[in-house]
Amino acid sequence: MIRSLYTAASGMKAQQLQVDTIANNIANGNTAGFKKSQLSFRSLLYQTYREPGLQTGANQTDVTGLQVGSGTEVSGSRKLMTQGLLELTGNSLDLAIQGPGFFEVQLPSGETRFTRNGSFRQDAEGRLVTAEGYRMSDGVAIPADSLGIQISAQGEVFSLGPDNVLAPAGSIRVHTFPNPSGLKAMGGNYFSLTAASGQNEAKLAASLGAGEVKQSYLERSNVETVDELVGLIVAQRSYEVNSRAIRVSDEMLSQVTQLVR
Amino acid sequence: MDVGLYRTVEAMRSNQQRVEIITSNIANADTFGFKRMLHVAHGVQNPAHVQGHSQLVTGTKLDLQQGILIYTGQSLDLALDGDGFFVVDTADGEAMTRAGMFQVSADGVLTGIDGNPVAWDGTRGRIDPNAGDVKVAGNGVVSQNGQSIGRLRLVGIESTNDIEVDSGGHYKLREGKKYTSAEATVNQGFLERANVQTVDELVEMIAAQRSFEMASQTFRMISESYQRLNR
Repeated sequence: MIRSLYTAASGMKAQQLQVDTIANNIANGNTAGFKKSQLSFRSLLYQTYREPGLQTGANQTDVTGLQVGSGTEVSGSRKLMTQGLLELTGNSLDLAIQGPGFFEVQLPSGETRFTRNGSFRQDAEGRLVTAEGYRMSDGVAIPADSLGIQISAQGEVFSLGPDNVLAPAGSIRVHTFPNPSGLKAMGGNYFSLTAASGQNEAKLAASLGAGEVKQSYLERSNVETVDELVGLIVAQRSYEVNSRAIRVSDEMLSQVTQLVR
Repeated sequence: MDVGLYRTVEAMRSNQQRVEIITSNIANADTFGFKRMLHVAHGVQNPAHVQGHSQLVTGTKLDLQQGILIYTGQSLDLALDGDGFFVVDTADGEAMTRAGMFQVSADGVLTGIDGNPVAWDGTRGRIDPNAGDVKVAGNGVVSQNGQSIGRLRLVGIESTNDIEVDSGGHYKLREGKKYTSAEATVNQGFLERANVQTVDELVEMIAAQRSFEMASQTFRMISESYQRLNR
């Protein structure tokens, strides 16, 4: 009987984490480039009380065994790297990636991070930086006298000079991963690579396996609020049912204590 | 005379196990690929017992009924529709699973979410993790950019009694049992939900609780009648 108390508790803990995850997804419903998380669960150890084949008579055996599970646990969370909606912003330094891949930025410490939030701006030296001021690793620099910027689907950056001629100003690479779901979210919409994600590969945008760069667009988060709300309700009800199982086990235990008066 | 007392204890124990089984089902209602356990209790005639008194034996039976497929859009989420299993190579041998939340490791091996490699028919296919676009056909044939890589191994079983449940959604063949051919289609971009119906489990749980109550009441009645006898 004690077992089912713990079993139900494992279910409640799992649902609690589920609600935490969903709440974070909902909170980031309006964060550009945000990718929602999804938890996955797996069943815990099964205890085998009895193997099938119990001798129940002279020439009679029981075909069923007795195996009881001990609950559930979170096996991991993954980032769902599905495409978010592209929204036209009209800002020439807003970039979105349609298809797989990430922009690479450099932290002041020299570490690299990856993001799909392409809301870039220029720093004093004309380099493309994120809202936090992290430089893009590609080292694209826009001349000070530039009149306009054009970025092709392949990620090539052109600057419109004072002489009305487009001059190349570098190119933006798209970084892909063997297993992008294995990236570690570092907050601020940045990801860092892990053993699970594998090494990044810098690719020409719009080449095989890499998405294309869309200028003047931002990628909205891939969170569907309706789906998340449904998930929230399901998690809450599951939580309730699990707590109900605890109550039933408790009531049964109290009956045992009243067996002998 | 004391046979009745032992019978009520048996009934209580059986219903307690019933609640444990149901609770495990409920706890895993959100586990992809999970299959619920059924509680089966039946009386068996035991020659060692007095004629007319049967012994209550509690067992479990895996309910392999199809779970609902939900769309995730992830190219390596695979759900089986029909009878059959994927096979994964775990640290302690081959195991079957219905949880098709797969991923590709950096060196191109298709693995389960716990990192166990998925078994293929014949040689293990290598998925180029950087080449994109993996397609999995209904029969389990995997292709990348139009090129066939190989076929995932799918197996079937003769009876649910042939397998035992391991942790992590894995199933193992019992000794001396053999695989049969799978009769399932692979659905790419879908995951199979647990086949647990919370309503059914709740009803079962209440029924188990009441059966337990009745058994414990009966136990008290019998034991009180002993007390009167002893007076």
